[in-house]
Amino acid sequence: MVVHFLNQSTMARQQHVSCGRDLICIPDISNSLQMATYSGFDFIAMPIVHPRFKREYIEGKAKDRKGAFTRPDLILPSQDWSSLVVGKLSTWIQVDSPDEVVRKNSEGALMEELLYGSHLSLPAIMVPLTGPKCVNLSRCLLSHLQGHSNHQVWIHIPMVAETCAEGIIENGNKTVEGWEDEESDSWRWWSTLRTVCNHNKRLGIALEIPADLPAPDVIDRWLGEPVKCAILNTNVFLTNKKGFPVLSKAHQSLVMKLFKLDVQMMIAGTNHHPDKGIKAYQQYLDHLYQSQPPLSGVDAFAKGYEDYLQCPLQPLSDNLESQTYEIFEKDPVKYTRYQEAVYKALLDRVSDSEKETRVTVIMVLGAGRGPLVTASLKAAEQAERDVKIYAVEKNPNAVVTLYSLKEEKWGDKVTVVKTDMREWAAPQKADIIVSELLGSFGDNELSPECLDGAQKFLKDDCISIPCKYTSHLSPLMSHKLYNEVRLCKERDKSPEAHFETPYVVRLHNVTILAESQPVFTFTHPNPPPTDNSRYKSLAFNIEIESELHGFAGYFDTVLYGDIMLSTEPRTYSDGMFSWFPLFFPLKEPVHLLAGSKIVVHFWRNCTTRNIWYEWCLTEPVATPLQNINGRSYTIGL
Amino acid sequence: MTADNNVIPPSMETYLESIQHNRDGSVILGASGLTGKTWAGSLWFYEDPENAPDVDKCSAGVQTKAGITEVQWIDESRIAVGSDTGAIEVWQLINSRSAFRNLFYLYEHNNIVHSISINSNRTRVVSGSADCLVKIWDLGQQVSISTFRGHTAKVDCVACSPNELDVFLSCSQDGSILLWDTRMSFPARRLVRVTGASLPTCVTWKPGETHVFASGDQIGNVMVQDTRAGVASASLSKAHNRSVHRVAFSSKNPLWLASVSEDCTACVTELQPQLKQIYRSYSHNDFVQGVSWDTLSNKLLTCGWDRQVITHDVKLATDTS
Repeated sequence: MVVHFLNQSTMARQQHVSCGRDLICIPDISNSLQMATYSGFDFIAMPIVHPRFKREYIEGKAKDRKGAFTRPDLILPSQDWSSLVVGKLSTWIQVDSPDEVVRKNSEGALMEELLYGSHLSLPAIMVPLTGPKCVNLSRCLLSHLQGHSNHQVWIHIPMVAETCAEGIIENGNKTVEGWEDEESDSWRWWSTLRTVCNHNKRLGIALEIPADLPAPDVIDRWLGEPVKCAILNTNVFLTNKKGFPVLSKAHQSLVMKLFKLDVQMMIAGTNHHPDKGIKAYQQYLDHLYQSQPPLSGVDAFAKGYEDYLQCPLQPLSDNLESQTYEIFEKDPVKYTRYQEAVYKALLDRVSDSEKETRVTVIMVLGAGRGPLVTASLKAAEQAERDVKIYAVEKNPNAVVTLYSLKEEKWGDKVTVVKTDMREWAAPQKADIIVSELLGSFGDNELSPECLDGAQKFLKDDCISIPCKYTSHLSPLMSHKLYNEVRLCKERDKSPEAHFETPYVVRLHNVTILAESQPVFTFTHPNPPPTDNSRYKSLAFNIEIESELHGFAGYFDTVLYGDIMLSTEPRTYSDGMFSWFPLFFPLKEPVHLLAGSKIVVHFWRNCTTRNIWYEWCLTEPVATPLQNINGRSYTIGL
Repeated sequence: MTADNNVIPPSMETYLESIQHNRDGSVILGASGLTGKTWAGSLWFYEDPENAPDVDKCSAGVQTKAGITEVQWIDESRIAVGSDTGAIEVWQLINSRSAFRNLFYLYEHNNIVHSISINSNRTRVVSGSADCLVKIWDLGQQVSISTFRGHTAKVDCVACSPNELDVFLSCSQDGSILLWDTRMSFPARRLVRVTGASLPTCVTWKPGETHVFASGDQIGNVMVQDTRAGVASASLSKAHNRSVHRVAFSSKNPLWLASVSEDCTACVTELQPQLKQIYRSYSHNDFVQGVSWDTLSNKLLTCGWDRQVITHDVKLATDTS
């Protein structure tokens, strides 16, 4: 089957790799389809019209040629057309030819073939893109996509532009048409086409994998694009000792990355291992597919959430639900670290000589259903220090759980307090406060404002766990996410509101364009006068030509001493799944040339009622400020 | 579909792609099915070319697995055929040339073989394919001896030099015409494009000279060039207003260059004193694909997608005009 992948991948990984066969010569379709299926392929790619059947649309006797322009649809049942066949357009079509006659005839043929492909209900049509001049092709495609068809368009493009082999041609450069250096970058051809087609969501890529793989940054750039199919020519395969086709280590690594993106495979070219059969190629790919290690840790948790946009939680203004608490409580890393932090803080705070006499007052601010309370108690036991714990929680529903835990497990050491920490008249002052009020961007669930509200009942030398948190940003490219944001448009909101709000998302089909940089930092305790508004500008150097669709947001936090939690990729806390990154979209994608610079500005603005972020660029171009005055998105106090 | 060597196909596909005279005046004809349920092809032999393309009057005929792009005589009884499968098929006429027998297939190209050419001592075949490669094959050993990636788009035509064993031309949709000499350390040299010429579609050597060749392009020009010289020595003439599919010099009169085109005409251009069309036929009703001169009678034969084979008596036409 040509499998249609929905927004969310299926929860379980597919059993087998989806692999198709690219066919050149198809004297008899049913026969070819049967042979391909017998060889283990799930679908075939075949020309919609005979590749040599040039047609005339303008004038002359050939224009009146009688008869059908291709074979009839009756040959296969419609079920087969719509699930087993990917159509290919004729390669003689040159809609960007400088010659008007060639261009017009090509346009006629292009539209004829696209429409026939739609008529057959083919799930996808492959459109070859072979050079930098593609604006008319883009126009023709876009015009067709606005019509009544449903199929995907797979732009068939080489990962690296075709060049002549070394040492063949005596004179002249390797690319024939005299392209400038940048023009021979095939990614750029794709970038032009999809930009002119306005990032149409039905555009995908059928990427031709070369025998010699290019530099990693060139490959990574493709991994942030909507690659639907990877074409492996039989030339790319090596032969192992037993005579079977295999891939080099570098190719295997690439193929594994493609599997993660749910890319379908396609085998093209003649069989260079005739004694093993064409089946051998498909079997090898399936073997690679099966040899993927089972998903574990965050990958297993996040399966199904890849590139799925979620609105960030607002636990301050909205109460969390039981199910949400349950999910977070399962984090294998977070509570262990908190426990370690409390343990160390207790040892630093209360010396051995004092341990019999001193009782440390710990306040868990935002106790939820109690996991931090449990962690603190364990830490106290481990440290052999006496504690009195206040579990402060504003969500009356969670407090029900807290009371029952106090009865059954915790006992008198713990006092449950049902109140907002900002309004609590505490009977004592705290030695240590423990909180986990952090969102994917650190301060975006208003931890600073909440903890400021607790300042009045902190002892002067109070320890706050966490004592510091910092947000980070990275520029990113993702055609997929840009389209996902576009789909979030809502009728009763302003027409651009969906671009002026951040989303929590497990980033998957994206390319990160530069290493992240820190943005806003908050430290606790934070004695008055307090000012939680922030402004920062960041400059990123961009190495490779790319497209900017927005920014990925991460955070890291120091709980105590050297105990940290982080979602920032370089320091990521392994196994921790409580936070997916944040995504700040840009209204319009910005094209980035190699060696250029991005300067982005972020604000954190505050009123007595709300907090919100605003952002814009000034390099390489200035962009309109997004979310001015929090018009589309705020976090409620 | 079996290629039963002894059964003459009951009908001939509509799209006649290529026609070539043997030295004795007989012709070989290749046809393709490009629409319709099956996209197969057929090969036909006529002792008397006047009988072509009548199925009942053929001397031999055979169904081929897929469409045929070009046919070339290797010798009196063997024929090389370029196929849509990517193979070069070698057939032999047996039983007093009344039947075909398949000798072998040369199958390595990943895509359609658009053009084949036999070298001057009939030991090698050069092939050009949509996979952008040019391959040289040894007919005796039935293997490829060289594979060259000198083009970045499909190779539309290859032509072996009639004088020099190791020299041939290739042209491609990437816009270049390459002159190949496999004895050189750099086997190919890109020839200068004639001013005003568009993407080349076909090439052929001028008989009797070592360095002169003609080419056609996709907007209808025919050009005559010397491989040693620059742009200045080339001449260009707009013989057609659509793509030229093939060009062929008359061996009896090398100043006559025939060209056939998607404009549905066949014409003959005289080279001296300047390129000028001296003959044009409007008899075809669709693309004209194949062209061949009878070396004995100097008559011109063309075939096309209108399922016609037409004989042109150019001398007669030009004498009377």
